[in-house]
Amino acid sequence: MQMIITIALLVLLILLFAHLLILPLSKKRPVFIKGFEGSFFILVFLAIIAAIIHPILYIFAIVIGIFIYYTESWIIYGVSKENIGNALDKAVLVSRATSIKIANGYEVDGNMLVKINSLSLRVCYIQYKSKAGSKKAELTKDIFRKFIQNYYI
Amino acid sequence: MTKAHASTVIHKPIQGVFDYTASPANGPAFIPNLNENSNIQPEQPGVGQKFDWRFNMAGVDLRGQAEVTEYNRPHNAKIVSTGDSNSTWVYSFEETDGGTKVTLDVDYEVAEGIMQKMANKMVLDQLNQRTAEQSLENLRTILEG
Repeated sequence: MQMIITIALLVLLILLFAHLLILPLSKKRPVFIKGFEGSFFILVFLAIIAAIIHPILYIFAIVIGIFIYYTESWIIYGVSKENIGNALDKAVLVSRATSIKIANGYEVDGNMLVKINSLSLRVCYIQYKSKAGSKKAELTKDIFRKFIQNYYI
Repeated sequence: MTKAHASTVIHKPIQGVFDYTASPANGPAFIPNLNENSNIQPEQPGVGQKFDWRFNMAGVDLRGQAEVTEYNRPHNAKIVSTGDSNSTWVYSFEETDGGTKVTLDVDYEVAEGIMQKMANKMVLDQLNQRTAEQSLENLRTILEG
């Protein structure tokens, strides 16, 4: 039974790997790990490690997967923190939102906190925290994603 | 050739609404699947302004060039694009009580090779209609918000 689960997870991981990593890298575009598919990818990846090493790691996989999903985080490979900051500035400008500089990030439209952390030279971790539902802040976030994806690696 | 049509009322003066909408630099901000307008020349909007575009339609990356062929401030603007998809985008603006009525008409034709990569023409038509409606909804969020 455990063998079937491991093979099923492996197939799923290969599909997610192709969709989330191979496709953008083949176009020399940044890699995004975000939302449901991103957290699911991390979950499956860690679950496979758990299946190989020790079942207790399944708990770790579930916790990390849920963390990424519920904290609305993005993990981005291929763009520097400076360029991500520039993309956010451009997104704020074209969406006619406002932004206030805070520690490690910005407050967009008085509603959404955007924290940008550099994990390494070309890997960044972006975390969002919305105070209340703001359509403009959500739209700015979507434009921000497009502008990051427009960079070449 | 297939069509998509949408309209909305934006509670802002007509000149400001026209200037924002007709500028290719702002396209990716309000058109949901338009990833990029680049190499915009000249910078000043008007007839003859040209740019490169990159659009994501149902997961397929489409690319091409576009040109502003009509620019009657603040009444209408027409953008003709060629490449992986040939399309014509016509924005019309009318003053209404306390705002501006914006109408978008899009005629488009996707190259056969690209079409084969996509799932289904009917789904594609619905997607493009949704894109037109969402574009104007986003425009209202940006300009009124």
